[in-house]
Amino acid sequence: MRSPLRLSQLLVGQLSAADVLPEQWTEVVEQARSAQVLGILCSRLRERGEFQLIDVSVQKHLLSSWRIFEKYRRDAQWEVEHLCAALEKEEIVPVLLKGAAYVVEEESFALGRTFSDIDLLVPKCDIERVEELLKWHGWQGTHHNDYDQRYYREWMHEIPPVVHVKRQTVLDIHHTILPLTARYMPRAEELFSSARQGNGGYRLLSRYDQVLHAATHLFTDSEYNHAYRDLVDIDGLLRLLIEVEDWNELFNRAQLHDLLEPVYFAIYHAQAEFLTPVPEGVIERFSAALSIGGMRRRWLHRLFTKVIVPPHPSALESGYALAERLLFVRGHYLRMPKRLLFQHLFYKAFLAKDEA
Amino acid sequence: MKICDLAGADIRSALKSTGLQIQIGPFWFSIRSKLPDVHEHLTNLYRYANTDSQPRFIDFSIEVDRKKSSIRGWLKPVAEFTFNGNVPFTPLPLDQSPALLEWGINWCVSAHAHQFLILHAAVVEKDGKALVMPALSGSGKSTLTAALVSKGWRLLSDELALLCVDSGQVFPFTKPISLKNASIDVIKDYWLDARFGKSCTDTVKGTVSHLCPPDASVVRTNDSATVAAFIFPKFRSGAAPSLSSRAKSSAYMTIVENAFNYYLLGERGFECASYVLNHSEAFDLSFGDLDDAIALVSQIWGGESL
Repeated sequence: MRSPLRLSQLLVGQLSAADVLPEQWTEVVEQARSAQVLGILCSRLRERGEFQLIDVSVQKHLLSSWRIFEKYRRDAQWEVEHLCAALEKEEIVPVLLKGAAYVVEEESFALGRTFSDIDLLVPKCDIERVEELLKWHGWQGTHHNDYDQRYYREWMHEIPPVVHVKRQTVLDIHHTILPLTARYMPRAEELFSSARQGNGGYRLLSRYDQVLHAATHLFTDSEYNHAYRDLVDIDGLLRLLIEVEDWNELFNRAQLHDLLEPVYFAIYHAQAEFLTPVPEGVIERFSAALSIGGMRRRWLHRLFTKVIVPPHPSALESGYALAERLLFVRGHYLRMPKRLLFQHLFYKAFLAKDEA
Repeated sequence: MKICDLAGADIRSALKSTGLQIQIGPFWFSIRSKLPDVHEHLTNLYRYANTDSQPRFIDFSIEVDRKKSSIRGWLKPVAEFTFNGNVPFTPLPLDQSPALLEWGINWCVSAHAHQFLILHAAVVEKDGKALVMPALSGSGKSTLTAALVSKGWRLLSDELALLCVDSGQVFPFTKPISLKNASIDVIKDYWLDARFGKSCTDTVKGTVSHLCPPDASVVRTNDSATVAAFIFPKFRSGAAPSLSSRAKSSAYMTIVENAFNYYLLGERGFECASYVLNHSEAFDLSFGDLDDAIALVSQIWGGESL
């Protein structure tokens, strides 16, 4: 296994900005930009009081990405405030997920984080009402052909993204955190019943379920261009679990939702890349509870280590493309039973017309 | 060290290996390319730009090269622009690589340098006072800029006005002036000493040719300037020359329309644009002849209002 990137060490304070040479910053800034964590790096260096130690021309890039973050935050706060107000009239209280949740809640680990869509979780029975209501407020559906509609509505954990006609903001509306056809079966009703009220007044997943969701997203996915940033999130979320009981509870929740495997990988890789503090025995406990064998586990570790990097040429090692391809197949395999998967890939390869 | 101090072979080997380090305005670029047109473009039109072979922090590392591994690429080779491992634009025919390089450099700055309020505008300076001309393509902005520069005005940029969000000062981004179609011959007739690069034909903007900025402008790449006036130019063939004062409120709106990152900067963008406009004058200029336009601009530059 390779050692952590300079960028990773700077993000978590293993390396001080004072010890990075000007020419080394070129690669750090480029990798951080490609992984969309330049704004996060800016906030962490400022928080540690290391910002002033950096070359002024590097500071400019960090500040510039902080400006981009401020725009995302402003837009997300405004959008979420109005969305929730509109849904509240119908007595629907959505749970905020991922980037938008961290940013609107002003989680310190996610200061500087940008994101492309706003993700919401609503009970499956309310989905139709939510869609109808959003239409009245200018949100339009996408993926209109029959196949895509069926793909999303029967098999997936979300409906086709809706886009606001004027502002072009994209909303992803989920009713659970994994496709309905997936190998793992998280219990959606549990996600709602243990959701909490955030400081900003919005509903959020419980701390443990946030880890579960981030882990599931990264370690069962079939695309890895955001993998590095997702692991930055996971590191940030895990650092909020202080007490041993928190880690016990994380284990229990992972077990309840049938998500021990992705959470095990999440803890393992966060620790490897970001030296996330994990109490003794936790990894062993997850490891012992897994059904996959040691050989397969080692292989998966190697594949994940290859792909969880900033998508920048300087961070891609040989074997990246193959690892990505293999995990792409694994991601699809985990999402759908074999017969459905073959049908789906056949359709996408030969029958689907190019659609936007 | 300047680009013209380097031997052709050194430029070529830097372009082909670790990258040619070159200062453009407040930024250092590292450019990689195996294409002879790119080499020639940089050698001829960036003569007085600073270069440096020592390791240093690079703001933007870019690459313009022939696109590999496509069947179409064998039949009709195309050049692609790469930044940070991404290809942000559609590749262009190989002979348009100088234009692709120039557009790519502009894009790097307009998409990432939010320490500035960035306007789509030409900037020239005389007597320590900068003139900013925000306008859409086809307004005669670049042609008028080239004409002013031929009369001794300092070129800061023909494309991007970089207004520092903290100070309101405008920073140079001195690059070759990009002239299109008919304006290429107009300037060749108007400015006999002008040095042009290779013309790129059939681009999305028609024929594009790049004009070498004066050495005296390029060497002042670190000197920012205070904005004295905004002029909104409008070229119309045969139009009588006229220069009239524009209300600040209306000028503000035109500035916002021509800004790349006004909304991104939010309150800071508002503060910056208001500050600069409150400390300068705004005019509409319509012209059909370059000498007339220059006479009008020189008149207000010598006057007391600025």
